[in-house]
Amino acid sequence: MLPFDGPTWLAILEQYNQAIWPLHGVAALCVLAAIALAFSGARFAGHAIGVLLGVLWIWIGLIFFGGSVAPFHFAAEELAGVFVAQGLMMVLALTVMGRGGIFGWPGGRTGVLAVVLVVYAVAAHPLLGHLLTDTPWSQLSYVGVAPAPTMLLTLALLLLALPRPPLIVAIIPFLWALVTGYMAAGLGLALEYIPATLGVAAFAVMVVRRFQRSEPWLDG
Amino acid sequence: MIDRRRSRRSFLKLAAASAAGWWASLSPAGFAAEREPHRKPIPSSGERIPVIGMGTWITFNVPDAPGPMAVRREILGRFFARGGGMIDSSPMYGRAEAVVGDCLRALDRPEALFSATKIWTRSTSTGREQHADSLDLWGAGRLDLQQVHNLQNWQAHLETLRERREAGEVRYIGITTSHGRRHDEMERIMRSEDLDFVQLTYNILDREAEQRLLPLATERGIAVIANRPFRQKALIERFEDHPLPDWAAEIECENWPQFLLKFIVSHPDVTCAIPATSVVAHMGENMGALYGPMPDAAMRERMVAWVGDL
Repeated sequence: MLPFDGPTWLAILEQYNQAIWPLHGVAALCVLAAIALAFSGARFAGHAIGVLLGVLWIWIGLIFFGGSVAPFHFAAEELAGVFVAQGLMMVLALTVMGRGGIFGWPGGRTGVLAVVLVVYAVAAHPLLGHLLTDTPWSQLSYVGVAPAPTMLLTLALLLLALPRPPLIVAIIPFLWALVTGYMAAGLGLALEYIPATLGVAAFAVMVVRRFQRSEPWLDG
Repeated sequence: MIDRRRSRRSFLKLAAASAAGWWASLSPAGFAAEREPHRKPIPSSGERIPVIGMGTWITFNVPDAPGPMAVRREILGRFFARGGGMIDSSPMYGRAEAVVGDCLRALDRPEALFSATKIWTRSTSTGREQHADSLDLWGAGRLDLQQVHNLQNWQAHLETLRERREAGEVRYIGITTSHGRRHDEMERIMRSEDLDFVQLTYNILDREAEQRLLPLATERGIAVIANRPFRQKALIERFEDHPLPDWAAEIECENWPQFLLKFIVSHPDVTCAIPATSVVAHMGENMGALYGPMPDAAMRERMVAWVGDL
């Protein structure tokens, strides 16, 4: 149940973007570092990715939902809690518990999907939003500081976990992909169907990889 | 000579009256002054309120920015100019109460205002805090109506509301539900508690309340507020591509919102409906339902049959 309409959601994003500027740059550096680490195959990549993405999820929970969304949404505190929980799980699962294993290029269609997701989350989402819907830059969602593109980036990087992605940290991002689809319908923001669909597709691929010994159609 | 003077005076009077009437018909305030809005009594007091009020779910949950605030001020201005009274809100609606309060201050708090809000929490102590916050946000020492939202913790909250009514902070108290939920529980409360108002979902397609709750309200002397008159805006979107029936002109319906609202408020057990909008022109359309003839029982049946065939 959404207690606001599309223009109000965009206004919330605008106020938030203006309030945190220029921290988008810091978030972008964290995102680029996480992407580079994921593709590098470095031994410590899992730990670093866990910390970087964990911090971004916690930030979005506390500052975006707990601060900017709270005056407008009766469930903002609960949403903030979910994002903080996801951030803590990312840190714990990928560092202390070492569930991330090694990150690296998985090859095949999984690799291609991961690249598509990364490119969309980092660049295409705001770019398409501006070019196709004429939304001002200040009202767009940016990776690392806003929920939908950060959800997508997280799922993309988890696709790069070898030998298999840790599903436990993909559940909340998957649920947020569903919420993003619900918001697309409820707020009349058609472009949000793209991250929603990509997020669901990424999670489906992860589930298949997790439970099947070999997946030739994914690796083909 | 005298006759000629008299006839000239009469002609001038007539011309002046015509000009004044023409001018009044152009201005929204004049419209309200020229035609009396439909009002219905609150059974517990006999006070009469306009049958079209205003909801604030989604539409008044906007940021404190010049553009959205100016539009809301204009909407409220149009609402009062066209004879509106009841504004309904809730702490659940985000910034809606704060926005309404700001707009009312900008409009010098119109005398016609009938303020209605809710307590929305399971916690009894938080309920008391919400009531105090509402008084503050609406900028009033007293609210006209305070309701228990969606029957949450209604026993404790009704106790709070009775206390606040005794203290003069509330004039009327009530309970709410929506989407047709928890009608059985609402019925039990209506039978057992002393209430001034109930609020429930009633519109041309959602008529379950006709079976038990609406007759019970009349039997128990409880005023009824109909929420979701357009199922948010789904009913308008569903019907807007179809023409109104020719006979809609008999009840002075010029558009679908008026058709749907007149159906609701013509039910003898319904006191008022609370459509919400974020568009100034739509407020004008909604408020048109406050004037002109209302459908009788036979026409209400035709209205149901007509939309059933669409």
